[in-house]
Amino acid sequence: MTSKLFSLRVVGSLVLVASLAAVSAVATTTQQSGAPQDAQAVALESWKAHLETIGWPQDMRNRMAADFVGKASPSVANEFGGVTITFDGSTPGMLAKVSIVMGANGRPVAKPVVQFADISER
Amino acid sequence: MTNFSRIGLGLTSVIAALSFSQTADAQVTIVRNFAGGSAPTATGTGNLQTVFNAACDWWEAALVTSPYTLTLTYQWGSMGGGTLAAHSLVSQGGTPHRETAGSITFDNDGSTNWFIDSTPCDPSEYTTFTTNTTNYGGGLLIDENVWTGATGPAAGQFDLFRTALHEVGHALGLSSANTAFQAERTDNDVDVTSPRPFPGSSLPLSSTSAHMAVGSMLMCGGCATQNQRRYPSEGDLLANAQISQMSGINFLTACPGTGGGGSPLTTTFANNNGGAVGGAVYFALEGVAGGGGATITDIDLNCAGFGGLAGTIDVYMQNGCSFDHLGVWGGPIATGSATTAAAGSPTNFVLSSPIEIGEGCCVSIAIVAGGFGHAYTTGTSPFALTYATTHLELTAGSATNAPFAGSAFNPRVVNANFHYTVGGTCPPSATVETIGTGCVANFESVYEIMDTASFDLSGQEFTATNSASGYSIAATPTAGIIAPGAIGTPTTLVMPDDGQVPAGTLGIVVGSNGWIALGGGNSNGFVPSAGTMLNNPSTAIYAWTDLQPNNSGTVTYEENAATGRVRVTFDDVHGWNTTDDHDIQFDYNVNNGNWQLRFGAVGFANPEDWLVGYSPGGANSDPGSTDLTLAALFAIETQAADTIPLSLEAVGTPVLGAPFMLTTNGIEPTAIFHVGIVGLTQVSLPLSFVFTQADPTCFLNASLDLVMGPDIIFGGPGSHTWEGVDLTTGGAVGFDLYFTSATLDLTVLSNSTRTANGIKATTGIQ
Repeated sequence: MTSKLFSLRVVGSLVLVASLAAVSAVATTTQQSGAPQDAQAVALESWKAHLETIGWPQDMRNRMAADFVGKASPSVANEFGGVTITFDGSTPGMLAKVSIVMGANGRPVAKPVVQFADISER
Repeated sequence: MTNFSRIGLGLTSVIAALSFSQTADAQVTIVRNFAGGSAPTATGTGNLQTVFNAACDWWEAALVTSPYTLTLTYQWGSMGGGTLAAHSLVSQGGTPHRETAGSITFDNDGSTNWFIDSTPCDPSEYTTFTTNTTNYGGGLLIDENVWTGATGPAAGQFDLFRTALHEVGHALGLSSANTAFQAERTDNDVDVTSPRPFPGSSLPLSSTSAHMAVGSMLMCGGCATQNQRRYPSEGDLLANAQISQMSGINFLTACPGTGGGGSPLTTTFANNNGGAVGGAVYFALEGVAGGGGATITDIDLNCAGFGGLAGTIDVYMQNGCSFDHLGVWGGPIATGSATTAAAGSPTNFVLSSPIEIGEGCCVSIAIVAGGFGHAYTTGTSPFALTYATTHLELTAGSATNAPFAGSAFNPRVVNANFHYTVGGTCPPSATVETIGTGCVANFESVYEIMDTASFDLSGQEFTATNSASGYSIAATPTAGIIAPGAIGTPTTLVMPDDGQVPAGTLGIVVGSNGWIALGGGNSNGFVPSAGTMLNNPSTAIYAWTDLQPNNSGTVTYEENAATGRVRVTFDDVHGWNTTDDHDIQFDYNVNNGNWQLRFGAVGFANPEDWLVGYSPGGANSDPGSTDLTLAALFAIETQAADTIPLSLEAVGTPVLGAPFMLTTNGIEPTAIFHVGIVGLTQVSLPLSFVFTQADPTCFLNASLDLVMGPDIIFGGPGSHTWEGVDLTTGGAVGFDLYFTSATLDLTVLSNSTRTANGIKATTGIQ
């Protein structure tokens, strides 16, 4: 008698998110009050945290994280009363972006989202 | 013949000598997890899973390395315009440093017009195949491996298979997130070093990303175009092998397992069915003509369940393609063990003994699962029943929930990758052959038996000279019998038909049918018989045929008591119921045992055969008929005593799965002990080299690696059957073992020790 089997498939929704929008482990002070933060600095720290998450040694991430930050795109007003700023360090064949959602107090309202991928373009 | 019962002493198997040798040929294993997503509108009738599996299989076969497992999650997702797919590294590490997990997303937002091939390994939608070579400093290497000229559903579309190959290629080294890549890219190229092929090559890298800067390579950045299917070139393979420190590459121009390319032979991992724990799958493997054969070193299997089980496999083999699950399978020819992966992912079992499939050979294979159940595929459309590489072809078979029993479910496709090296010979069948001789046979008796028309000894005188070592018999021409009276006064004997009469004073008895003996009691039979002669109670000289001295010719006897000489003359005695004269003359010297036998004229119409020779009284061993005319050329020697050689014969052949038995024949009545000898080496060693008292004519035909017994035997002459090696639990095929045997009497190691011929036994399947 055979028993019908069903392939085990790991539900990959979380991995899917990670593939394009890896959530940075950077410790933020999202909900803390205080002076507005420099978005560029937040972007850099976000990159360092992401690179650490995916196994980069400290010297490499300190040395190279800035290369991935890139330039800030024009900020867009958001529903938190602040602006959303995306730093795009992408180059042909490589996606490198970090998006920071700033609140009204000039500080991130959530962990910045880092996108780091090898992309196939036409 | 007597078959001795065995009073067994310990029997030790030499199965240890057949123990499996360990080999390893592990490569890349890509664990594939499909995370879903909505398939976009596309041409072709395939799906992402089939295409992605084909891409992973390709890379697994194309990179040579120590065991390395990469887990990839893949899915459909929106990528935005201009991007076909993306790869993200999730984790990395290890030594050598490699990506260990990654995620790949294929665009489904409608901006990419995909061709999703249902048969990605069949490039029939493309018309033109091209390769190109360039020297990058380490010799010409292939930097293009492409099909162009898309037709049908592939026309005008981006090939999903090409993109999948490209993205999986990122996960194997060429990734911006991979620190090994970042370390390699500092001079903007990949510097190829040994042991990889083409050392000294510098493969240009994109300055902006983890891509090759060579437009013809699969891993080129921004090079995806419609209407083509691009495979990994040697340049692509080398780049990843160098970055990820893999030892070699295996360039392919077609999918592994689908009629082209090399190892592994892959069926499918699309299990939609499965068997019970401990069940078996059956299938046939054939060495493809012209492929040179294959030697399978490890097998990836699809194991049912969620993984984490301690799994074992036993691999069995039959000759022929019939995969008859109820047939004779013998014992396992290889085993393996592994912790199972989840169903749908390969579990690698390194075989304890490689399995060779020679070119043109077809064998049936059974894989019995231990601790897990097989996950396999029902062999109905769209799943094929045959799968092939350039070297090896698999025909799907059946499955059972208990090995080699019950009803088989079929067709069932084993889910497997067969990793192999090119080259192999046909699995051997079990064989036996006789080697060497034990003891040289020695005989006291000598005779020739022939039909009456073939009698060729007329005009011959045989002179037998006795010594301590036996008789030396020579033949010379003679004019016929010597006239009676030369030795003593002849006495005419009154002979009956088929009888015997005593003659003279020296104990001689004369038989009517042409013999003289040193006593009475021998057979009066008119039909000559070697068996009778060899067991007559009195020593005799024979010119035995059916004669009629009671009513024809004369039989005279004369003797000289002083010298011990006697002479018996048959003069013109007819053959029975014929008118043919026979002149036969026997001389014997009772003092020294010398004798002569002369033949004059004889008839050729006697109703019975002739038996001419000599045999001592009592039981004698049969030397077989000897052409006595040879005595005219050289002396025929008899021996002072019979030496009976043992003969050893195999009972069947050494088939894995059953005990291999042998029978020792020709055991002497005086033998008390029997020993079986099992050796790993063939020798031809005088037994006297083993112990000095041995008969110098006896030889040992197997090295003394294992002595079985002694078994106590008595009551012979007879035979003794004994177990040479127990192959019930399997072993290696093609393994040579050498067997011989010996018997001893109470003197143990002495000149009465007898040895047998050897048997060379080669283990095998049926």
